[in-house]
Amino acid sequence: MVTLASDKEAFIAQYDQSKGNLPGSDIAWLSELRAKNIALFEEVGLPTAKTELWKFTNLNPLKKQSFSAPSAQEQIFANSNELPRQLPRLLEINASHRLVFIDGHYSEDLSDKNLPAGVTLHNLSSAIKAGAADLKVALSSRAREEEQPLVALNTALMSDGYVLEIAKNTSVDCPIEILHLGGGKAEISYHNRNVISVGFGSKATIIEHVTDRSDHVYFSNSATEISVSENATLHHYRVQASNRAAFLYSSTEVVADKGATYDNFLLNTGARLSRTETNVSLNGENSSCHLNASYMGTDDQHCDITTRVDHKTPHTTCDEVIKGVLGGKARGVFQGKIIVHEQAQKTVGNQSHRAMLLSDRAEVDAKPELEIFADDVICSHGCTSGQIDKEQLFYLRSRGLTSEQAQALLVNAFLADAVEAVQNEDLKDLLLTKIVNWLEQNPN
Amino acid sequence: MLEIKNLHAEVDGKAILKGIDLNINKGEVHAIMGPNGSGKSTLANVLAGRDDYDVTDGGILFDGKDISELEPEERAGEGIFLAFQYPVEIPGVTNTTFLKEALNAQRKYRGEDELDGMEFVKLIRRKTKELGIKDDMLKRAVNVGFSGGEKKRNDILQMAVLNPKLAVLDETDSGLDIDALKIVAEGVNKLRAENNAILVITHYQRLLNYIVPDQVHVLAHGKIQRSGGKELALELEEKGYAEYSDDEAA
Amino acid sequence: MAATQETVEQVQNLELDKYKYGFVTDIETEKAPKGLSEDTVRFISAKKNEPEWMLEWRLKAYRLWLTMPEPKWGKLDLPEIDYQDSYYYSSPKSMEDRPQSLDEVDPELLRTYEKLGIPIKEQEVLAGVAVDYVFDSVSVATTFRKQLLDVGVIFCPISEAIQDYPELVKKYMGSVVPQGDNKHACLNSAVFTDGSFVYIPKGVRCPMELSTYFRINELNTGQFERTLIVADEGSYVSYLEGCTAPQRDENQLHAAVVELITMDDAEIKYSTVQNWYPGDENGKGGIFNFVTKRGICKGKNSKISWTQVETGSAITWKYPSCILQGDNSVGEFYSVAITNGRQQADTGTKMIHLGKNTTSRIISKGISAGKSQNTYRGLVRVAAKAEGARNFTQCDSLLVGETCGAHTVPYIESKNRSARLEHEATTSKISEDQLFYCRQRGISEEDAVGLVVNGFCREVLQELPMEFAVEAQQLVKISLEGSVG
Repeated sequence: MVTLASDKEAFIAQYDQSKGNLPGSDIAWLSELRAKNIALFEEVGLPTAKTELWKFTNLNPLKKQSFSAPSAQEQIFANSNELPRQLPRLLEINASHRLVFIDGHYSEDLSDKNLPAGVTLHNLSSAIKAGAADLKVALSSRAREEEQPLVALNTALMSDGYVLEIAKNTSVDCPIEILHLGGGKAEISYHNRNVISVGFGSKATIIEHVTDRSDHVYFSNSATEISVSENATLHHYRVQASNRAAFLYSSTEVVADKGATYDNFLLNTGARLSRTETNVSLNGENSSCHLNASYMGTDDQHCDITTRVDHKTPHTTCDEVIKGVLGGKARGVFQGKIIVHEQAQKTVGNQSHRAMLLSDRAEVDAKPELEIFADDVICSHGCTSGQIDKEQLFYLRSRGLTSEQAQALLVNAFLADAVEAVQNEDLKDLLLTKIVNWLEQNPN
Repeated sequence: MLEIKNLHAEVDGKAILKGIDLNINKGEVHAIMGPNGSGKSTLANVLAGRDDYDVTDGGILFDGKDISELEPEERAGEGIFLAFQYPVEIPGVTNTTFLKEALNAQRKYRGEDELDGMEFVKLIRRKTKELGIKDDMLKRAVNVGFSGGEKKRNDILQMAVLNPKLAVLDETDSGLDIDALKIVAEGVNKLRAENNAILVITHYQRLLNYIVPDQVHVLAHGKIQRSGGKELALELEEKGYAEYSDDEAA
Repeated sequence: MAATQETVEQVQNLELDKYKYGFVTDIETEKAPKGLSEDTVRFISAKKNEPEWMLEWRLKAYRLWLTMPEPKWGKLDLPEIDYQDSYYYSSPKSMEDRPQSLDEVDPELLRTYEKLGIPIKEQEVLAGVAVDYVFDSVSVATTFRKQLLDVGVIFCPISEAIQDYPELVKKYMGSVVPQGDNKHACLNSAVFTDGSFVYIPKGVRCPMELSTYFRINELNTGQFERTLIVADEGSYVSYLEGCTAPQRDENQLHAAVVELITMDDAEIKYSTVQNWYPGDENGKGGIFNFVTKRGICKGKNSKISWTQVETGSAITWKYPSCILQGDNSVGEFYSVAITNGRQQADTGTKMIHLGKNTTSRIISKGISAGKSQNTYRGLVRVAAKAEGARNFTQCDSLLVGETCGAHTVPYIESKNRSARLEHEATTSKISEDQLFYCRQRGISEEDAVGLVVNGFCREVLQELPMEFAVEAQQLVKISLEGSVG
């Protein structure tokens, strides 16, 4: 295995080396798609701070690292018994359906395959082999591909992922948990591609857990395509708790049809550098989305949350509540764009980003944006940055709490706000616990 | 003064008023009562000429003039005043500015000279004094941060300054406690005169204890079902609207 | 709805521009040869009789300009500008021998300003305001100079300041907006022709409002004025600029630079009523208004306050900013930007917090009508050492037309935990309920729009000096004519 510096050329070289072995290399449309995307990536290159969309997130630390693709041997390892049976699990209950990805590879052995009726699941390569319908469309549907060179890179190099289909009128009561466990080996990168489609009138909850089992440096570049059909609801929750050497990029593109709801929450404590992009296109009337997040950062962590909501039809609604707490030398970035297209009358769009700085060297940058081309709308955004309210702190101390207790209590309350909208009570409790734990481990 | 003949009106293509006949003479106070959804507020809005309220048949004569095609501001100029169920807040525009603009626009419409600053201030001082309204209210933005009672009193002040021929009070009593209700009624009563008329639209009889009507009409299913003297209101208070509030299909 | 639609159509059938400043003054002028070159720069410098150092400064800027790219980040649909198709200097012939007193000013110019409502007189309406009248490339008159000088206040055309106060000019010009700041500012540095210079000495509260009135008259001529205001320790000045131009089918370029400097405990209040010709309803003609305005609060406890009412220009690109260097210094930005027809505005501010306990406040009211595009773009940056910095931003947009756009692009960057930043933005349609309420009280739909919008802007308008607040309210109303619906 050749190790390469991860500048643009390194990734292109990786593509040239591995293209014959990538899933679907014998399928013409897919090879063409990969070739087209590597060409696009070659043209645009890795994002730099000169790109407006990457103004606050500098990928230089990533570029200084060298990454290789996990070898075939390591793929086998993913299915071996050497892995602890006791894999991290978000929800205690066995009732949750579970998919496990180890260093980017789907592990059949470790996954729970008792999926309910109406739910079809493939890993990417088997979906490609099976010639899953609409896969071609899903993989080539990005609206602004030139703005997303890392997604183009993903398309060129994608080697695994999951394709989840929920048939129409199916209510999946039990959450589907997806574990992405990294850190099996140092300096590897993987490019997972996922496709989720929720059929007419269906309802499902997906919980993704991104974590790792070592302090190794690795780069996970994932992309997910989601379609939520008419009157369907998808609750999509994500917990990112990687080690502080990891690089995470995740780009999710959602299309919501008439009456559909996409409900998203992100808890981010992980990674040296993470960027989580969520783009939602509200294509059908009365569709709505929630994009909520709580993020915490310390040391030299960099956490970027970038959202974009396109209101394309009348009577669409979006709500965003993002809370962040930053200690150490951590830097938090929030970019949120709400676009109301000309025909999208009666849009309601609200967005709020609030950050709390706990240390003298932490930094937060925000760019909440409204772009409005329709006239009958109600849109707002709010953005604040500050430290813990000293009055409140004093009040609590005067009631007998120690300074640390008081601070933890206030920070906790501050972050918990964004968790409120999470519908699954078990998960909500777990998220709140994670917040408390983080505060205990990172007193700042 | 006001003659409504066979008035049909619809909102968003839905027929609400289905043949209303009503005559109001100078000096009279009429009350329209009716259950929720009977078309009371629609009638008020149609009289004031609100967009989206379309007259499909019949007509409205005001002082003998057909006003059904007039713009809202033209009707105001003719002398129709609507006291709103929910008076609107207009941030940044003081009551003084608003009243002056409104009064002078109406005077201009009627071909009268506009009042200059001094004349206007004198007029408004007199009116606030009469109604016992504090001057500082004039400096505040129109209805912004006003309590429910204050908003209604502000409407009464506007009515006093604009001195309309016909005042339509659209559920003015909604959301008022008894003290506020009394104050508002008192204000209205002060403005009663031989030359003007008042149309009170209300769900409850209690307002009519304070603004005593000459005639009471019951509106239901888009039509006036019954008319009578002030005792009709008492009867409705006792019996409720049960006999009128059947589904339209019935 | 039908009635409203009718009104809209009726009004749209009327000529959109009720732009009452659109007349042309017929006056003999002297111009530089058309186009831009080192010779143009030398021509201007020679015309102004400038010392060598000034010429060198200009040439340096010109050479730098040649290498600079056009700024592209505004949300503007901007045509390619042909810099060679414009004149860079135009002066009324009668200004060749500078008139020694107001009585000697060309009667044609006197009539022009009479017509614009700002007569060149030291009495009557403008008794409390000293005015510098800039006509194309030259200052044609400045009132109350002597009275101001009596208390030590220097208020004169910048071309004279270069002659009379070279040390002050050398010290401060370009100190806040460096030549290479952006391409438009760089062009201005090379070819600026006039503008105002103000110096308020220590401890002096300027006894009257200072004002500059900018008028572009000549066809195909750009205006490049430069204003420099220095408020020394403990001084105060309130300054206002107004601008108009004739109605023409060609676009004209206006690239100004304004630099403000406040020392300890000093305050500058800078107000703008910008009413350049906006072009016709199809977007033909109008001024390209590319302005770089920046102030530095150098001293502790100093304050710079920008108030702007932007109703004119085909394209506005302007971000009056404050560098809050002195501890406890205060920066304010109050803005009303109205776009109608095909106008485009990309305007906002930058508040750079460097000193301790610095405070900034941003109130922006954007109103979009017709087919216009209106963008608020702002930056609040708190440096690591700006302990206790505080910002409050309120940014509201009102939509008065179905085909316009309203955009909000704030950047908020904090490197200090004790800094408290609050940003709020809203966008909504003008309320039908408010309009109906007004109309029910007898106010016409168009007046109702004017009233409601003036209410929406009140927080900003009340920051204007008394003398101009009423005029600004009228302007707000006039700018929205033909937009109801």
